[in-house]
Amino acid sequence: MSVALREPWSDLGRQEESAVLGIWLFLGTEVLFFGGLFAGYAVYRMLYTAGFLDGARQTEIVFGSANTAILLTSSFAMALGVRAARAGIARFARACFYVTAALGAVFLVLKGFEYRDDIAKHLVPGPGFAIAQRGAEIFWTLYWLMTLIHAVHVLIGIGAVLRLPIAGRDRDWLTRSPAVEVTGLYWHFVDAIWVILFPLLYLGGRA
Amino acid sequence: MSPGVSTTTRAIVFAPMLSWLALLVLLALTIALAYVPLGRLNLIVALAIASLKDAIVVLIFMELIHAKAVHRLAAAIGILWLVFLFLLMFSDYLSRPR
Repeated sequence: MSVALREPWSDLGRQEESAVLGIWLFLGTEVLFFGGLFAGYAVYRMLYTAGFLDGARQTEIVFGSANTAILLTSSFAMALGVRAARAGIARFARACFYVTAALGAVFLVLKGFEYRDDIAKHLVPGPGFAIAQRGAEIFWTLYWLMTLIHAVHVLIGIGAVLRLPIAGRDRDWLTRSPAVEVTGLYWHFVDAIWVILFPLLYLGGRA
Repeated sequence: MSPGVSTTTRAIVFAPMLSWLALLVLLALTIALAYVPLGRLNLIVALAIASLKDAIVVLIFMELIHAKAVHRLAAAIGILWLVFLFLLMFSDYLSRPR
């Protein structure tokens, strides 16, 4: 009997199938959660196009681009880790998960420096907001909301990813628990959300 | 290292590595194109590239391309509700007198 097998499943295959179905359904709810923000962004961008372009021009594209590359690379490490764990290459898989979590942490640190610059440039909506154009303040409200909610997801992701090599010191668990695949799917999803946020928040108004 | 292990390693690394390189190339491309004045097309091009990047992430990193039918269905339904959200919302906003 494998340590990876839990109640109420009779075998690992069914457990894996159920767990993966569960995370996809959860990610479906996450699509709608971020979807509400995307919908708000779409409507306000339609109504205040000039304000959104003026707003987007002020985001820190160097931080944004670097963070996109970092998150894509973390997803690459995660993809390798999940495949290696499945193939029974435990040490390499654990290393991949640590790299994934570390890149996630680098993402958050850079985001912190970026927020510091944003605050210094008076880009927090409210009294003394830097951009006069109507709608720019709505853009920046969405910027803070979307990036902060995304950052919370990254933070939760780092915790979930770090669990894998720690619980996975047990080789049998690491190579057979559906937690590995499920955590991987969550991490890739958080990356996929950022891939959409990047053009919406950083690329507008540059041309 | 036995030949068996190195074959496995190659099978593990190959698709994710190609995907990762493609994603970085697409990232560079979308940043470069953001500075080219295309008018309204700038947003469309940026979103098209983002969709392509997410297709790579979802199909290869998340392995949806060879996932079980029930998992592909669950993933597709997540997108379906999003489509409903946008369809119904814009059928309102775009039909309002300006």
